[in-house]
Amino acid sequence: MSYCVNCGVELKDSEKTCPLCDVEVQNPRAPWKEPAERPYPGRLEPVLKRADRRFFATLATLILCIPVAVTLLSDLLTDGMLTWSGYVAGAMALLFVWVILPLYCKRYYLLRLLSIDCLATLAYLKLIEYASRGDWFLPIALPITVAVSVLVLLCALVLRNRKRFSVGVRVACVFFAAGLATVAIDVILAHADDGSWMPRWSFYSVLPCVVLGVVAILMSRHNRLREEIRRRLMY
Amino acid sequence: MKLDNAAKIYPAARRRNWMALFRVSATLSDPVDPAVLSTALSRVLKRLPGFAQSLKRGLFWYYLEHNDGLPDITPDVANPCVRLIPKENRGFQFRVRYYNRRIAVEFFHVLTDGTGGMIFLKTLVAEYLRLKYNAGIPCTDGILDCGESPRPGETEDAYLKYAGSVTRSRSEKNAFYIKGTEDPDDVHIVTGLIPVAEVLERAHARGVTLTEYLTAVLILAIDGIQRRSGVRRCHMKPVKINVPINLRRFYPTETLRNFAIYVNPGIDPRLGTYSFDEILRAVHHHMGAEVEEKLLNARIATNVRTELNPILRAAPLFVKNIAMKLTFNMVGDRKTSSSLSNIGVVRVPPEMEKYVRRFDFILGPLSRNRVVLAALSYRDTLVLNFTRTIRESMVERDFFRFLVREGIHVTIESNNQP
Repeated sequence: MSYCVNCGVELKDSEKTCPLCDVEVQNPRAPWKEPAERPYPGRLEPVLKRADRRFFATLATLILCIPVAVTLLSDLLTDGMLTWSGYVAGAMALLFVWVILPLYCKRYYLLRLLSIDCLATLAYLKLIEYASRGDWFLPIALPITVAVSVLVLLCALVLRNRKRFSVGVRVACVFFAAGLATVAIDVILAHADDGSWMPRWSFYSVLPCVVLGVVAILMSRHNRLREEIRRRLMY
Repeated sequence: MKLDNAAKIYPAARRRNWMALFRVSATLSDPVDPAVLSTALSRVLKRLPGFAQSLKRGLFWYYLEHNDGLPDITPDVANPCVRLIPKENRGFQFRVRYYNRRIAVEFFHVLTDGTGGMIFLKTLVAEYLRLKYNAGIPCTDGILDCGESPRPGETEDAYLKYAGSVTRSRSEKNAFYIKGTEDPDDVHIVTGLIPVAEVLERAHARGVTLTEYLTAVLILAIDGIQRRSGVRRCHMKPVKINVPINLRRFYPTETLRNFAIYVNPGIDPRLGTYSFDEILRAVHHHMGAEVEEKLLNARIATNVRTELNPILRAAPLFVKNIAMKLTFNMVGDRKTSSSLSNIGVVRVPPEMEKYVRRFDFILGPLSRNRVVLAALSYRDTLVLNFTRTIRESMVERDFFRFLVREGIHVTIESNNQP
């Protein structure tokens, strides 16, 4: 019969260390030896392991390489140079950065990954502009991409902080961000068109976004209404 | 057979690696003979067809279908209550395991609750003892006669039968969540064996029941963990314990399916530091106020009304599954920090008592809560089984150390391998 010197509990013969504090059993008169019968067998029930995300990411990358290789090859074989296949390769690269790259990370590093997403989008748009000999990257694509990325980042920061922001505030934040994004796009397009900073059409989309956002906040503050909706929906 | 009201959420809430399981076991005086146990099981399943069921997907709901087969009796494992894969279990929603002198049955909650599970186990063990030793065990104390035909009342949905018309809000604040190093691949079981008279004496001296006393000790242990975590007092979360209440105490039913409802006694640490006696008073008065037939009935009515909601009923199963999974993830066990399920006193006839050394009750890991406690008393021993899926054993440590400080003798064993 041994007792844990830390916890004061009696330990069954099967326990080599105290299961409560991990301190080894010290009993000079009866040193620990394997008992004839343990309370549980040694065999473990196999548990389904989580799918290895990195393995899945590598598999998805290899699958993505197939359309890239096929289009590059067929483009090259047709006229001996790369023309249209660049769009496909660029789109696949963008898909890789947006979807597969986060799977390689142990956790979602918001700022770093969103910055990389933004840069990759800009690079792809620049490639399209270069290939189509356009002149829209600096006045339109760059500011819109940066503005939308900043809004997505702000939204994600609010959505992540569950402790600080209630569900209603988080839903409202998404609506407000959507409204702001349309204003930003409107202003950038107007400025690129005739140099004015006046929004033209975004009013029609901002209004419902603001109203829905305010409704979401009001609903989250109204306990009885919130409870009623929850009850009607399910529990 | 339709799922009962409480069981409806469990199939939807299942995950790849988790489902709501619990386990009851009996330790005999001699090693178990699996062949005899299998024969006993086949007889018991004929008497209790409510357990010989496979879970099927219908268009609108999951349902149970009678299974004519017999599940394999398998050797026990070190990590009980790991997800049950019906395909590997001939479609059955429970499994029977043996190890040396122990017979254990693990149930998916879709079939039954702790009380129903214990009746199944006692009937199985009694039948095993009759076959093995020709023991003359009478069919009393919850042991069913395998020679009888099944009674219809045993498979009734008592929630639907007894639900009233007045409902009650289920709204509650989220509770403190015990954090630790995740160890999802392993289930740690720590068992405390305590002389029941010693605990009862302490509980009765303070004018509370055994369950209230244990709940208060558990709250004290978890409250200490939150206070030591360095969270500012204004940001502390309530510490609440989910305590299932057996509704058979209040309604005359012989159902062996789920028939329990939960109360969540607890404290709000933002209000200040609670002494043990204050926690005990809070738990005692909460249980006194909540565990009352009329209030419990209003809660049953709330759950039943949700089930009878015409919009929900009309939705196809895959839509219901999404809604129920979302609800379970949002509500589930977020409202409590841990769970304490006390089956109470397990009684068997004296003819059987000489063959059975011990009974155990183990809750499977919960979806979110990392430490849960199950209790029962048999003969003069209170058996407390902690189930944990994190590495740190601080809850059990503080819990049992408190009992030792109270002058109670505690014996510990675990499923740790040396």
